[in-house]
Amino acid sequence: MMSLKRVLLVSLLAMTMHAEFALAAPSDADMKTMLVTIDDRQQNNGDYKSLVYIEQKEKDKSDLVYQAVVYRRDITDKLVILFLKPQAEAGKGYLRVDNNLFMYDPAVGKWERRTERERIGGTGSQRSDFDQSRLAEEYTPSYTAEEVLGKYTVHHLELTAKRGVDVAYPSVQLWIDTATNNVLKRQDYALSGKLMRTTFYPEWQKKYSASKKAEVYFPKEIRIYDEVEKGKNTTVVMQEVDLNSLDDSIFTKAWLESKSR
Amino acid sequence: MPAIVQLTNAVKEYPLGKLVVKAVRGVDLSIERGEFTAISGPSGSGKTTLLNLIGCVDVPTSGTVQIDGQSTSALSDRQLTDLRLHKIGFIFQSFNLINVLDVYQNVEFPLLLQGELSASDRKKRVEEMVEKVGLTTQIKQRPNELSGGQRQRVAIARALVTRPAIVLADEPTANLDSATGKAIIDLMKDLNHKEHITFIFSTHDANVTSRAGRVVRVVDGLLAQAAEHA
Amino acid sequence: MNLGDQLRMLVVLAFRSLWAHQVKSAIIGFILVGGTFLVVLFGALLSSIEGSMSRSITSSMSGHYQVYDANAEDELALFPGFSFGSVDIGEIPDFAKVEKSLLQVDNVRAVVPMGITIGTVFGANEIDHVLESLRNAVRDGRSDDVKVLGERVRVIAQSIYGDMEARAAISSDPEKVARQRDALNLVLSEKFWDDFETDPLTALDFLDANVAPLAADGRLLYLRMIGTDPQQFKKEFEGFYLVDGEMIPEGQRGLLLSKRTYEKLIKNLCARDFDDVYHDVKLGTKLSEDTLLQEKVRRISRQYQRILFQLTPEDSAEVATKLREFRKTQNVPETEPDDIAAMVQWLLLVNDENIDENYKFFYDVIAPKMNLYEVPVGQEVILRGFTQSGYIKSVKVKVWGTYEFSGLESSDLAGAANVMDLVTWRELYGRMSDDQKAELDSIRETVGVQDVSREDAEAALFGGGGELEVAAVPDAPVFDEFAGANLKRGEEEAALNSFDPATLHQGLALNAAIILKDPSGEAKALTDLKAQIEKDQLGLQVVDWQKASGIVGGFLMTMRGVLYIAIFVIFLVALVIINNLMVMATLERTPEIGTMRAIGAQRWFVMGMFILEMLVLGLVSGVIGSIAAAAVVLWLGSTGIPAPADIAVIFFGGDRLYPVISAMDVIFGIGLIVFVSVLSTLYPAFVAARVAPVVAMQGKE
Repeated sequence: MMSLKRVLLVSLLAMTMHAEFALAAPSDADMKTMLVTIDDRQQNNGDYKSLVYIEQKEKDKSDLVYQAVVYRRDITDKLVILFLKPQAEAGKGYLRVDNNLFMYDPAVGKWERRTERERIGGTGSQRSDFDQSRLAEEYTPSYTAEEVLGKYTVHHLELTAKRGVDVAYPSVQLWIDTATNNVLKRQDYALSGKLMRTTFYPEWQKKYSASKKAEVYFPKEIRIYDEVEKGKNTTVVMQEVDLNSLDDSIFTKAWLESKSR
Repeated sequence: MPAIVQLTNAVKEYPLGKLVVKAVRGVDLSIERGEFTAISGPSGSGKTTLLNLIGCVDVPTSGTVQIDGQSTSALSDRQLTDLRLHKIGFIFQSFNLINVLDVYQNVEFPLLLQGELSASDRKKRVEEMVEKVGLTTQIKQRPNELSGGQRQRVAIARALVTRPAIVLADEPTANLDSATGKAIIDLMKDLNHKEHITFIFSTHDANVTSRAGRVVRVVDGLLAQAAEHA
Repeated sequence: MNLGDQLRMLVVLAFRSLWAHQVKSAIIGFILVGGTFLVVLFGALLSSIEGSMSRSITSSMSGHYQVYDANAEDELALFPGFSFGSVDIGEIPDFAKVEKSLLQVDNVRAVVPMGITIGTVFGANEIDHVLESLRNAVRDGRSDDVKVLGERVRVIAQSIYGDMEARAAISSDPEKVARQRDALNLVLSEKFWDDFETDPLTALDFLDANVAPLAADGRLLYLRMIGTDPQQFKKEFEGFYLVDGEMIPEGQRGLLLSKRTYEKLIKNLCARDFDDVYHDVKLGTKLSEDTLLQEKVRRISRQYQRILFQLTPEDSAEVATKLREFRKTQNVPETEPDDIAAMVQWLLLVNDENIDENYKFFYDVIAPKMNLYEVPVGQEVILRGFTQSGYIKSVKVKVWGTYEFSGLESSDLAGAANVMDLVTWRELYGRMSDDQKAELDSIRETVGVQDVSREDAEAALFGGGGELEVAAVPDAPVFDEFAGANLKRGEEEAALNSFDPATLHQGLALNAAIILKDPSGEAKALTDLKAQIEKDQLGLQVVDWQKASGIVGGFLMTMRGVLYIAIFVIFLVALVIINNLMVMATLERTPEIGTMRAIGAQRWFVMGMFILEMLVLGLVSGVIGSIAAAAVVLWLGSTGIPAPADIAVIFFGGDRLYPVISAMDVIFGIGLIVFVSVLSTLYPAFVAARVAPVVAMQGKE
């Protein structure tokens, strides 16, 4: 239902977007459309699988390095992150079912419930960085200004979390490329108004999805800077993306357990 | 044999604010061994200052004071103290006994300071002396348990116990009634005779002066005249 | 010269003068007695504290000395104080070498390897526990257990459902509450459990996702872990003794929880609070008079679900029956509601009259059916460490038992330390091996991410020539995520459940306790240890137990400082008062002094007289003050001083301090007071010695 409406909106939008956005400050409806577009591009009607590389650098500490596989089934809001490398971390994983995030550690064979702010594998990345984009669903936008970011002209939006929605950060600043409507930069704020982290998306890739019958967008690289602990940053690289359908059993605790047993 | 006390042009000045008071203004005085000398004069005449110079509790500003042939001017406090301890016995107007000590201890005190006699000699000497002043029965009493006359007797015993060359007495009867005063002078005179001790005492009591072998009158810091009696 | 006789005279003069000036002597004497009393009393208390602390701390964790990395960034603190911040005390990479070297020092009996790290235990809520057991039962095909556990899930769901009314009333999102209620309704339906039989895993995931979050949240326990050689630890630290369970067997992994942690942190919250209330009442607090305690009782009663959740339906029924019986004996009207929830609430809502019986009933009837402890003795617990490498490491380790340090049983600080084998500890601590580092490098190389600093990020990422939107290769082959990855846990980890005991002493430790054969030879041992470390270039520093104990040693140092400052102030005041009084006395006694000087007393005699007077007064006062202080210390020594706060338990080496007084304390006190007396008379004596003999001639009585 929801996605059908979105598709309509997006196709309606696609015709006018490029011409009009650059002229005046967008209306509330325009901004809403921007977010819907962003969410919709990244969403796949079918499944999503990607091979990701996560690296955290921190001052005076050794780097954290992981390779993991991410499975997504956007229509049922399910997500699995399974660590593959290094050997000591292999088999650990996360499972998101509805609004619950569980973590599994094969060394002890036990599940734990984690919060939205869980640092994935102890890095600066969070569940939302790997999951489907739900900006329109979770936040209400307001317009700040048109700005310049590097060589791009961007819309600077401020997003406020909707009531009753469980998100890691209640307030978000978003910079969207006026030409392509891709997110370039994002800043997350805590309830206190403190800047927690800044994220950059320097490159977006698109891939045709047979199930969606359209292109699915994904960030090739995500650079996350911790604004609380300076000098700490995390880079996520989508090494491979595959949009073919996945087995239902993947999105269960039992499957994740079986991979390391 | 030289005089036991020899003052030659002795001068004593005291600063008093910006002024300088000349208490003794050039006294020549010679006192022989065994004399019983009274120094008389009105208050403020310089009588006490003269006595201080003779008693070595003070030294002259100019001129000399010689005790038993020794000049006091060049002596240190320590040497002066030693001189007092060995050569001079003191009897004060207000008795000046040490109140926390009994009769025996008061009399023994200078002997202890001297530290020359053995304990038994000391005891003998003290008891002998106390007997001489007639206080043997009060020997264990404290000064405040004694009458004025008795106290002065203790003072006399204390002054004499070291067998000094000179005994100085500053108005010894001033705080006593006349009968007691007379008895004290009698005792001093008696000791002067028997022990051949030189007594020098200040007084302005004519009755006392009359008992003296020699009277030295001081007026305005100078000797007025020297009268000799038989 | 009869110096002896003169001295005797001075002494007589001193005593008589003191007696003659009674008021002055009394005032000064009072000050001096008071001063001595305080100095001796507090000196004795402090040395008693030092003594008992020394005993309790050296015989618990510290040993006589501790060694650790000479270049450590932070100071070693065995007792952490109030912060759980991470402390970097460096490492001892090769403990065997250190042990071998230090054992060559004469007086060293043992070197115990240690390491401190923080481990977290995820205290799951009750339903998480039940669901996990249910999941295991399903996996292992234990259908009887599945039934029982399923029943418990229903009980919990029922209980949560009961709370939904209240939750709906305060919720800002009625839609959400409605969804939650639907989920609960589903779980309470027969259909759900019919479906459970055909597809248990889906049903379990549903329970995990939709029901478990509705129960009260679990909590994260932070536990301080001391990794060591447990056998050696037990042998060398005389204060250590086992309370529950058994000792970690030699060559096996294991954890001993401190009894304090076990009772105060790990125990069921309801039971723990009930214990606290019971103990407070036993110690004489009246519930009827203490509103704080009443509030606590009400809170316990409100949390009755923490108990109900743990009971199976059968147990519940049994408890309900017994409770009904018990209530009758307590004269509760029959008209009161008799469902188990109401009755348990009643049981917990104690007053001064029924607390004994209710507490007993709770422990006799209900407690045996509960998991009283989140991490029970005899079971395995999962500890998670924030490792040195940054990776999160979880280890499963058996809790063999609980232990205490004698004398420190009621100290939270000492009780924060939990003992585990060093092999497991090393995993929690998580220093990376060279192989692991090489593996990381190789993973990193395959991707080759450029490092971009935060400052340059915008220019570097958005200023370049790259395209923002790129089409992926359209027909890239489907990738195999598992190629080159090995997710299976190796057998080597399973085999590690036991190990060669020698490995405890080989490899990494952070610090080590040095136990001496003869503790009285401490000073020499320290020099020897330092020399040995120098000689073998071990790169270690040695600290004594006081310094090693961290905040506790610091407190002692502070206390001693405060005492010394107090002494200094007391004496400064005494000095001024005595000095003034004595100067006044000197003026008063000028005629007497003049007389003595006139009849031949030297200046030193006068000075001596005054000083001797105060010497006598000081000595007499000192003795009186010391006797008074000794009497107080002896009295305290028989009754004991209760420790007012947790930190004091460590100082006192127990709940009460039984102070003792030593000759040294007394000598120090008297010596000090005499010194001050004499010091305060120097100036007055000097003034007295300057009195001229001539004043005697002017004397009027």
